[in-house]
Amino acid sequence: MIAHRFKYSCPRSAEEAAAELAQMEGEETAIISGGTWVVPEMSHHLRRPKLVIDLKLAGLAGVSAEADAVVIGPATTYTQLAHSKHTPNFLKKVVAGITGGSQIRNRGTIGGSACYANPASDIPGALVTMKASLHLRAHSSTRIVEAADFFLDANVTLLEPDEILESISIPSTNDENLFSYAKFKTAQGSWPIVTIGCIASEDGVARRVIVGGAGAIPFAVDLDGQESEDEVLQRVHAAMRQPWSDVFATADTRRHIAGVMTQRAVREIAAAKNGEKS
Amino acid sequence: MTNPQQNLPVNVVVNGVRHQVEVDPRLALVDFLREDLELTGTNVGCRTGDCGACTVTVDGEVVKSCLSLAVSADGSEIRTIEGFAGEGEELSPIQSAFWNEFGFQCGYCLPGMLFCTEELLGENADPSEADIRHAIDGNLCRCTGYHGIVRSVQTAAAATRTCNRKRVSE
Amino acid sequence: MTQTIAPTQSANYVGTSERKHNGEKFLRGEMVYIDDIRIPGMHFAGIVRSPHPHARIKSVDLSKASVAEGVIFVLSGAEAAKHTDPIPHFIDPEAFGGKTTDVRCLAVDKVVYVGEPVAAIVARTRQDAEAAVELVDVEYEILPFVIDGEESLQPDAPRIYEHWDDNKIISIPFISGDTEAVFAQAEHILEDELKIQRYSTQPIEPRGYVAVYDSRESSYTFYGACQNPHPLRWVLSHTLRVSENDVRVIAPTVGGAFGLKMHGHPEEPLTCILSKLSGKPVKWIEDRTETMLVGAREQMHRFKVSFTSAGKITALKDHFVANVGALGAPPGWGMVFLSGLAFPTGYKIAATDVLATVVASNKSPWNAARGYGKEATALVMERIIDLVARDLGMDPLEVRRVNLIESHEFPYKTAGGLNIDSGDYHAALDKAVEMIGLPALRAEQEELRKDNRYLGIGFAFELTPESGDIPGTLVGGFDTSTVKMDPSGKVTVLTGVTTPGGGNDTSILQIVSDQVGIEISDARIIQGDTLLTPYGFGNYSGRSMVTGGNAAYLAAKDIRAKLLIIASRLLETDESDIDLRAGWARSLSNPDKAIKISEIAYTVYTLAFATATGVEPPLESTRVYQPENIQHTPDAEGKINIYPTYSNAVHVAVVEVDADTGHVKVRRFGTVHDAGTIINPRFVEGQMEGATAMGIGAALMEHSIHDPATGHLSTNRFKTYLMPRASDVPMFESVHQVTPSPYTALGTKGAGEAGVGGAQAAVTNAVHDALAPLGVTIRQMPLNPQNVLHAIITRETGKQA
Ligand SMILES: Cc1cc2nc3c(=O)[nH]c(=O)nc-3n(C[C@H](O)[C@H](O)[C@H](O)COP(=O)(O)OP(=O)(O)OC[C@H]3O[C@@H](n4cnc5c(N)ncnc54)[C@H](O)[C@@H]3O)c2cc1C
Repeated sequence: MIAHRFKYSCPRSAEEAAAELAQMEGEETAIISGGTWVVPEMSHHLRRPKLVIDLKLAGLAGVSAEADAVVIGPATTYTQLAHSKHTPNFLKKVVAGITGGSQIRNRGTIGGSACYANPASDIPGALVTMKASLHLRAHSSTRIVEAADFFLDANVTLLEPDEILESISIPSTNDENLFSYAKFKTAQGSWPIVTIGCIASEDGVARRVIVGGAGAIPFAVDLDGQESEDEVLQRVHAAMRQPWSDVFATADTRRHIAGVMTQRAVREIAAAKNGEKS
Repeated sequence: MTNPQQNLPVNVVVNGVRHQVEVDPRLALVDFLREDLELTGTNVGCRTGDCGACTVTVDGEVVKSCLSLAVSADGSEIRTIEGFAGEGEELSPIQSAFWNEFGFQCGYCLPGMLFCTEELLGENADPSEADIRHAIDGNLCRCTGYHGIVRSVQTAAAATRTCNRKRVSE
Repeated sequence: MTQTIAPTQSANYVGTSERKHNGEKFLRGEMVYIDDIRIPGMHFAGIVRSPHPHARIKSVDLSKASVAEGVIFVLSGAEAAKHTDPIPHFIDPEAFGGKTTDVRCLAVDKVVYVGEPVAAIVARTRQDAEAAVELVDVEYEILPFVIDGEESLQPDAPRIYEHWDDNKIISIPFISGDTEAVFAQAEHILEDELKIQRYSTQPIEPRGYVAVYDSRESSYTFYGACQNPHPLRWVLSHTLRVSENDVRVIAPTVGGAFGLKMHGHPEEPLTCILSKLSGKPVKWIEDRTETMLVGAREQMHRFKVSFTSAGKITALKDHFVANVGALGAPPGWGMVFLSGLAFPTGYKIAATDVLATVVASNKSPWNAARGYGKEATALVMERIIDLVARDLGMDPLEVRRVNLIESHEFPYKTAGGLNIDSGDYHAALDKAVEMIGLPALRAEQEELRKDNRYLGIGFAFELTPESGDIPGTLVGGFDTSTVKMDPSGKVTVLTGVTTPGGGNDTSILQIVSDQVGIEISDARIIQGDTLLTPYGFGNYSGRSMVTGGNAAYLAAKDIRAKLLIIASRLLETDESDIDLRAGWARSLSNPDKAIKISEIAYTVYTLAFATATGVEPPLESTRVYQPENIQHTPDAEGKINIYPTYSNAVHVAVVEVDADTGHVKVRRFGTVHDAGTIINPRFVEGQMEGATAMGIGAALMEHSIHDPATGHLSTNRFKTYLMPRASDVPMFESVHQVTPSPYTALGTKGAGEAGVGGAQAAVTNAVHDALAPLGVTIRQMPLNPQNVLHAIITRETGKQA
C-alpha cells in the first residue's frame, strides 16, 4: 500500500499543471495520467512523490485531425485510440496488441507510456516509427521535440522535472504508408523480447525499420529501398549496439530474434503488397 | 511548498448506493472499496495490475482497482462483484454460466473474469474461442486452466443471445 | 404418518457433475478469504526482511520505527527468540538421516537468504506498518554466498550453516538390482542430463494470517490461509510454548493453495507472538513479491539407461541434485525424496540406481508444490523413453508399450517399494492415440515440414502416487469425518480435510446426501476449524476424497442404517425394501408408501423410548478412514509403501515450434485419466485441467531466477514470473478411464496432483518431436524461446545424446 503522505491535486489544464510543477523546487512529483505505472510504483514504495498531479480534469485526452497532423492528447487511453477515427492505422495496430486486458487498455494512456519510457513498452517505438513530435510545457515555456530525440535511456526522457507532455502530433502522411508491426513475446502476458515496426513505400519496399524492446531505447534504421534482405539485417544488427538482456532473453537471443522478426516484417509488407496486386 | 493532505472528500455511487465520504488520498481504489466500504468481494492479488482479481467497473469501463487512487474516482459510478447481478435477486446469466460450467474453483479471480465477460458480450454477442481468451487475458487463474472459464463464457454468450432474441421478439 | 404424495425428482448425486454447492456465494463476492477477516481492534504487521543472501546480523535498531506514526510494537529476532522456540520441521531431514537446523520466526544472528524475516512491526494501519518497516536499521556483516546447487556442493563453497560440515542436507539412495552389472552387458546405453528450473506455485491469493491472543484464557485463535489446520496447531503450540489445546486454527476460504499454504512459514508463529506481545489482534497479508520468494522443483538430473534393441529398458541410473534453497520448516525438501521414490513410475525396470541429493543454498526456501516431486520423475522418465526411442529409431509409443506394467500384473510392486493398486496403462495409451487422431496429425506434420513448419506430438505416461502417509510426521494418510442429522432432517458434515477450491466439499456432500437420502441443499459442510471438526490433516497429496470422502461415506452409512431401521418400522416393510432418496424413504415394492427423512429424524430424537427404541440417538457418527495398502513395516528388502492409491494418466500434446525464434505454441492437449471411481466428473476434470495448465507453464515459461551477482530474486512479479494466461493454453480434451482402487472403500484414487508432470513431459516430448528433423536436445527447462533457440543454434557443437 502507499505508505507515505503526499499532496493530491487535479489541475484543470496543462498550464495549471505546469504552474504547480514549477512550485515544487526539485521535490519529487508524480503525474497520474492513467496511473497504471505510477500507482503500483507508489504502492510498492518505489516512488515517494510529495505532489501527485492527476490529469483527469486537465482536458488532455482526445484525438483530433489537423491540417497535416493528427494531434493526440497524452491522457488518451488505448481504448480511446482504438475507437477514434483519426488514430493513425499504425498506432491502431500497436494499441490492439497492448496486453494486460481491457482493464489496462481502458486506463493506460499513450502519454503515460511515452513519459515512462519503459524499454519493453510499445509506445516509444511506435512514436519513433511514426516520427511523432512531442509538445512539452513548462510554466513559462514550451518546446517541441522529435520522438527520436525524446528517449534518452531506459526510463529516461528529455522531460525536465517541471515539464509535462502536453500533446503528441503525428504527421498525417503516416496513413499513406504501408506498414507492419510485430511483437515477439515469450507468453501472452509477458513483455516483448522485441518489437518491430516497418514502414514501406507504396511499392511495398521497406524504407524504415524500428526496433523496440531490444535495447534501452527504440532505434530506427532508415533504408533507401535498394538494400537486399541480408543488407537490411546487417543494418539492423549494426544499429543494435547494446541489446537488452533480462530474465526473458540474453542479448544474443534478442539480437537473433530481432533479425528474424525484421525479416518477417519486411516480407510481410511485400507479401501484402503482392497479394493486393494479384 | 506542498503540505501533505489528510483526508479528501469523495463522492461516489457504488453498486447504486451513494457515498459521500472523506478518504485518505493514499488509498488505492481497491483498498477504499474493501476497507472503507467493506466490499470485500473485490480481491487483491498483486497490486501491479497483472492478476485482475481487483477488477471493478468505473463509469462503465472495466478497470483494475489497484491501479488508481480512490480520490481519483471522485464523481464516478462504480460496480463491484457484489453489484454484478444487478437489482434483482437472481444471478445474472453470466454468473449462472460460471456456476453451471465450473468456471471457477477457488473463486479469487472471479471479479476480473465476470466483468471482462460482461464487457466482451456487450461488444460481441457471438465471440470465437480466441476472442474469449483475448478478453480474459488480463486475468490470471491458477485453478481451472481456463477451460471451464472459456466454456462459461461460451454458455453465457449463448444465453445472452437467446435473451436478446426474446427481447426483440417481444 | 405415511404419505402418498410421490416425489417425482430422484437425486443420486455420486457420479454426477453436481455444481459447487456454495457457488452462489462465490459469484456474489460473499466468500470470506483471509484478507476479508476483520476483528475489532485489529492491527497490522509489517516485516523487515534481509536484503542480503548471507550475512551476520550485527545490530537491529528499532528506535526510529518504534516512534513512527501508528506504531504500537516492534520486535527484533533476539527478542522473539525469548518468547518462541524454533518452528518444528514439517518433515525433519534429521529423522531420515540428514542434517537439520533451527528455523525461527525471526532470524537472530544470521540471515541465509534474501527475504528472510529479521524484525517486525505492529501498527494501527497497513500503511503505517509498511512505512515503519523502512525505518528499521539493521547492520549486517556481509558473508560470501552461493545460489547454485552444484556449486554449493563443492568443498570450498560458503558454508550456509556453520554447524554443518558441508551444504548437503541429505542423500537418499533408491537401489534395486545391480545396475552396473546390467550396464556392463548392455546392448545399448544412453546418457544425458536435464536441468529442471526453480518454480513457484503462486496461487492468486497470497498468504495471510490473523492472530488473536486472549490473555485471560492464555489462548490463541489463528485464522490462516492454510491447508492443514490441525497439524499447524501442533506446530504453533510447540513454537509458541503453549499447549496444543490452547490454539484454535481456522482456515477461511482459501484462494488457491497448490502446496504454498502448507505450513512452516515463519510468519505463522510470528503473527501470533506479535498479537500476544502487542496485546492486539494482528493481521499480516503477504505482498506478491513475498509470495514469489517461495520456490520448488529445481533439480539437475544426470541419467544413464541401458536397453535392448527391442526397446526394453534394462537398467536406469539417475543421480540427481536438488537445490532447495535455505532449509525451511515447510515440507519443501521432502519433494526430492518423492522424486527419487517415484522412479521408475509405471515402467518395469528391474535394476535402478537412483540417488537423490538435497543441497542447501542461499536462495529462499522451498515449499511443497502440486506434484510433490513426482512431477520431476514423470518428466525425466518420459524424456528417457523418448530418448531411447530416438536412439533406436523406434516409435516412442512402442517403447512405452514394451516397458509399461500390464493390467494383469496389478497390484504391482515397484523397484522403489511402492505397491501400485490398479490400472490399465496400455488401454489408456491406446485411448490417447485414438483421442488425438494420431495418423492425421502425423500426415499434417509431414506436410508442414515441407514449409519448414515444425509440428510435434508428444506423449507422456504419468503415475501419481497419492494420499501418502510419511511415518513419524504429521503427513497423515487417514482422515476423519462426522455426519450429523438434526431433528429436522438437515445434515451437517464436519471433516478434517480442507478445500483450497477444488470442490471436495461438494463431492463429500454428494456422497453423504446419497447415503442418507436427502437433497444436497439440505446438507452443509464445515471444514478448516480445529475446534469444530474432528482431527484431520487437511489437503495435500490428492487425499481429500480418498480419506475425508471415504470417512464421510462410512459415517453417513451409520446414519443410513439408523434411518432404515426407523423407516422400516414406520413403513412396515423390510429395510431391504426401502429406498432413501431426495428427502424421502420409500418402499420399493409399494412406492406409494413413503415417509419424509425429516420425520424419521424427528422420530429418533423424540420417540427414543417408543418407535425408536434400540436405535441409539443422536443421528451422529464420526468415522476415520484409513485406506489399505499403506505399509510402514519394512518388507524383506527393507522397503515401505507410503501411498495407498496410484492414479495414472496418459497425456498427449500437440505443439508448433517456431524454429527461427524458439517460440512454442500448444495447439492441442488431451488426457486419459484414471482416478478410480469418480464422485464428480467435472471436479476431477477441473483438477486435471488446472494441473495441466500448471504443467504447460512449467514446461514453457515459469522460472524463478535469482541474480547470481546479488542473490536477489529477479522474477518477483507476475511481469517477470510468467504464468499461462488464457491465450497460452488450448481447450483440454479429456477421457476418463476407471479402474477402481481395490484399497479404498469407494474405489477412489487421488485427483489433484496428477497433470503437472504429465503435461510438462508431454509438451517437452512434443517440442522434441517437432524439432526432430533438426536433431535438437534441450537440456534446460523451461522451453522458452531463450532455451529452445539456444539448443537449436548450438546443436552442432552441443553435447549429443
Ligand atoms: C498488466 C499490464 C500490462 C501492460 N501491457 C503493456 C503492453 O503490452 N504494452 C505497453 O506498451 N505497455 C504495457 N503496459 C504498460 C502501460 O502501457 C502503461 O502502464 C501505460 O500506458 C502507462 O500509461 P499511464 O497513463 O497509466 O501511466 P501513468 O502511470 O499515469 O504514468 C506513467 C509515468 O509517466 C508520467 N507521466 C504521465 N503522463 C505525463 C505527462 N502528460 N507529462 C509528464 N509525465 C507524465 C508519470 O509521472 C509516470 O512517471 C502494461 C501495464 C500493465 C499494468
